[in-house]
Amino acid sequence: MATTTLSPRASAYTARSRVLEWLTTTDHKKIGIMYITTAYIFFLLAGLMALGIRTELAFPGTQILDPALYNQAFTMHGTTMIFFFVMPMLAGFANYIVPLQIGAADMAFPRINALSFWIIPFSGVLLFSSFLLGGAANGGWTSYTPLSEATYSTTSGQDLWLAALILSGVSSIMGAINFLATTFRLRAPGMTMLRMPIFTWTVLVTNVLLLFAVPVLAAGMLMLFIDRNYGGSFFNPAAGGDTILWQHIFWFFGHPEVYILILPAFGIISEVIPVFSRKPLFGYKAFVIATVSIGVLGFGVWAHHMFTTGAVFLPFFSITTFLIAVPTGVKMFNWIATMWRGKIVFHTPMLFAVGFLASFLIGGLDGAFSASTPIDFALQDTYWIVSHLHYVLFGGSALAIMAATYYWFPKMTGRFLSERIGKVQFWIVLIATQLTFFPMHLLGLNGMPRRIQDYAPNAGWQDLNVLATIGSFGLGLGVALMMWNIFASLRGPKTAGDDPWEGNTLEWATTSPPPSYNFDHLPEIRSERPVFDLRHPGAGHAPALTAGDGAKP
Amino acid sequence: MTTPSEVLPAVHGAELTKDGHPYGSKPIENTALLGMLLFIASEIMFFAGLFAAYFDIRAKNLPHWPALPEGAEFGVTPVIIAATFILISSSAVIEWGVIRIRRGDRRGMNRAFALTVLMGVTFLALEATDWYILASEGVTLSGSVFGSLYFTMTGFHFAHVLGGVIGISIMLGRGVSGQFSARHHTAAEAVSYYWHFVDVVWVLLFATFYILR
Amino acid sequence: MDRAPGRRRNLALVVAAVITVAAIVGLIVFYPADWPGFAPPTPITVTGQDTEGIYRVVFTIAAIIFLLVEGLILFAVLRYRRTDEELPVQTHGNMIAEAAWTIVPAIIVISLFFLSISVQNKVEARSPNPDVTIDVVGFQWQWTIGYGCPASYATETTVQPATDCEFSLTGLGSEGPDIHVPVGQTVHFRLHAADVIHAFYVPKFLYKKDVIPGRVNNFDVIVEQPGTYSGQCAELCGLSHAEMFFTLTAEDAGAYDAWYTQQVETANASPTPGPSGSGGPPPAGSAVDVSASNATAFDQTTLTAPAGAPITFRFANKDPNVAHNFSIKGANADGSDFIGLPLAQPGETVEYVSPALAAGTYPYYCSVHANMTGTLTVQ
Repeated sequence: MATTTLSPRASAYTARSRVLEWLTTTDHKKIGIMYITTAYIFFLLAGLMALGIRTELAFPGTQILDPALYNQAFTMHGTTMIFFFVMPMLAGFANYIVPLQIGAADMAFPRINALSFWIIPFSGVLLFSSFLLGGAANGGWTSYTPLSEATYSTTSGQDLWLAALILSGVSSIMGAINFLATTFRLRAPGMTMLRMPIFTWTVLVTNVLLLFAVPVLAAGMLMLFIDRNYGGSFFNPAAGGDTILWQHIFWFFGHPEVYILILPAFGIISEVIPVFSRKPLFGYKAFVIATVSIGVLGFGVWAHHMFTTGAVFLPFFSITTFLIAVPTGVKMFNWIATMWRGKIVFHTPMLFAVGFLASFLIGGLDGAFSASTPIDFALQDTYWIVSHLHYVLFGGSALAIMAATYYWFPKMTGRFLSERIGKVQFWIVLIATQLTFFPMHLLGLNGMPRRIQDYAPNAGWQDLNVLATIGSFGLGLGVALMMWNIFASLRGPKTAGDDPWEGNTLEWATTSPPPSYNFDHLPEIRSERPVFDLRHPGAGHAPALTAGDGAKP
Repeated sequence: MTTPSEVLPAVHGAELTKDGHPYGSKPIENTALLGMLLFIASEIMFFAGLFAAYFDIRAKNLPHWPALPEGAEFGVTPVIIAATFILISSSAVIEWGVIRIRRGDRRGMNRAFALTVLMGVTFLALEATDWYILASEGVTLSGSVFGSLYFTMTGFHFAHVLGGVIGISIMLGRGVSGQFSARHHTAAEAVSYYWHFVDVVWVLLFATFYILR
Repeated sequence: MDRAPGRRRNLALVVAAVITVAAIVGLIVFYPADWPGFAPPTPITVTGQDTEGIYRVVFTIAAIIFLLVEGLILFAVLRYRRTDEELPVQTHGNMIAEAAWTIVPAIIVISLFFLSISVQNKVEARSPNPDVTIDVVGFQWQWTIGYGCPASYATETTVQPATDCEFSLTGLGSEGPDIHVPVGQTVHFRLHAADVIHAFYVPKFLYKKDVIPGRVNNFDVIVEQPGTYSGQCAELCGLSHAEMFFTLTAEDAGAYDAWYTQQVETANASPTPGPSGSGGPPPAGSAVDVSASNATAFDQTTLTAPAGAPITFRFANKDPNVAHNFSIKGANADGSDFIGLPLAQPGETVEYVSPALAAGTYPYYCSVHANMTGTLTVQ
């Protein structure tokens, strides 16, 4: 394990006040840690709401959440998880890691970076204040009109929801500008685009999606705000408006949004699997093409959320939805091929990566069902969809986030997270994920709609709901264990060193944590694995065979 | 004549390209200009959302479009023609200012930017006047869906023009205090890109509301 | 760094994998028969069977891919564990493999697409001459079903089946209307939304369609199996979204005609909305005025009325969008709630006559929107 010797000036600067240091920092690493911490806090809040929802649904009748509160609970659960957990969390890892991975000293626009971060806790508080100001938004995270219009949604909760999301949207747009400028302009010499780490590639495409999709959502939300507060009629059919327009605008953003939520997760997995398999990522170029394809195609599928409106051209959106399975499948096979004939060691990050593969596969296959319009007519707005979205968002994004946490915690703190707790926590989370979300497929198939506070005792749905509720508490336990792991390990010994995992990419070529300026010197960059090349000179390529490109499995 | 590159050491950002532009004035080579272009891309998408709403609602209402309340009128007015002419001309003025500062003419740039501010403010005043005229003729945001669209879209454009006027004023202030030169004027150039964008949006708004209807 | 795991560890892992697979297989084999299964419920319509058919195709393909890919993952995880520190062959990629796992899935999904479209065309087909046309109005939070409605209902978005159609049925609370359809005949449903977006969903149709204000959606079904089936709203529509139940009864033509005739008779027998209550002529004297302008609350949260005689409540529904009524908790002699019937449609005024009440306070509410409440003081 190499340890970098920093220049004597590395620790020359000491801030007068730590609090002030963190409040005013423009260092991408500190900002990244603040994003991650904030995101975990919102994860816990949204998770509590989920436990409330699951407790309510375990048994027929009203237990702890009456319909008014229940509708707020699932609305805020979804909104918080998407906008205040997954997005800031992935932005946090991207913030910390991408400049390191491209050999830069910081992001292109550090002060805007800080502003982007500070908007998040502010808008999160704004959103949650609605609970105390007459009730939170209660029209689902999708806020369909006319339900979200002033006539039917009379509290200020919906307005606060709009304000919070417009603000966090501004944060995302500024972040997108920052990441794109950084990635295009601040790469170290030798790092061509096709030598960038895959995580950096996925962050790049994600930010292109953010740049193009979030402003459209902002336009829609501002129009709804004007409808609600200034007498506009955009979405009011009686006044000549179009209520389905909201769905078009929302999902034009909303579908790229789900790729925003998963692509960096793909990137994380693409970092972890090669390192712990001791092989390069199989099919790097194919991966890049697949990522870009998903980004482009992702803008052409939005109306598959609207198949049952009777107002969209079904065949176009059905074929694009089917097609987007192809690049996703390519990635799946590439990850498995990376592990194939590798030498795998199952530290906790790798456990979560494999858990991701196993779980995301299910969520992805679910999508193939909904791509077929007649099947979607049966399954739309039922628990099948709830199952699908949680498999990809929890079994996908959340597991990848946990992998990233275990993988990069040593780099950020110089300490390891406990492997023992990590392994226990992983198995609890993996099993609980299946227990919670798999039964929902069957419930949806059997006719249980989503967003209902209660169901008939004789519907035959209770048993599976009880299973799902037990699973959800298992998830709560697993997450709690992870939080404990983080707290306990923060006080552990600084044994990680520069490169605890024998990594491939540049973040492992400096100390843990890096100095404020990131690198004292950079290794030569001649492939997508500069640190691997440093450690194994000349071994980066497979021996030349007649085919020139490695044997098939 | 000695060019700056023969006199000064080759420092990133200080070189001249083959055709005499300061290195870094080509957008992708200059990070700040790239940032501005990316920002403009996001703004284009923002207005795209609004235009999409317009065409969707219009399509739904055709042939009764604009669906104005009884007695209300909407059409080209001398005020809006004047406003359009002034805004389009101001793009030429600010571009002239950028051309001047590329050649090191600080006074030229300051004059051009000052005139642009004036023209921008005039546009805002004329736009507000036109709104007043429309409102008194029965076209209001809450009175019809056409009104909702018109005032929202021109309203956000107004806000963007205002932001541009503020930005140009800041550049003017910096220019007057001598902060710009032939080699260093990225911020002024970036603001000019933004101003052109705002102008193009107006052309599209004008074409949509007044020509296409 | 981990050292090479020993043989015992490998064995333990294989045992764990076997146990896991056995557990999953056991779960499938011993899965209770009355729990929801991997197949959708047996559809009762012709088009539902088409949908079930394509579901089976997709499920089979998905199951095969699932087993294959999870199998590969499991195999890789078990077989390629690190046993020494030597680097494995640093394979960067393989064009043939990439081509294979791009082209084969593409062929699969494109084929599925064409299959799906052919089923879609069947499911979404409209008959030029449906045998029965039923109009459905979704409102917060129940359904009004209209039979024998005018042809203009094909495009009219704001409709009043109670006045325009041969007869109509309206649900109350979680007690939905029982929609009757003849077996084996083409039934054409037209969907109208009174307020927000709802969705008309009968799980056993394997089908749903959104009910959208400003738009009349429609679909055709041919129900093949007689029976009574449940349905409910499937698009979040507010507070009592979970209560918007209805039932659908499919019966042979004879029974259907008999039911239809009987419904028409009942509708004709009570031509105009009249006072309901405990009987007796409306009392002389002034009525208590009460009104509602929206679904959030009555315009009056307190009312007073004299004790000892039936009370006439003149309820004006000023809400432009939905029906309401005026009901009083525990006002009947047997302690049950007095439910004001019929519902007052938007813009209507209906007089309800309650039984005589003893002095005291009684909560009142709207049966459709339980959040609309107030207190009646009788003295």
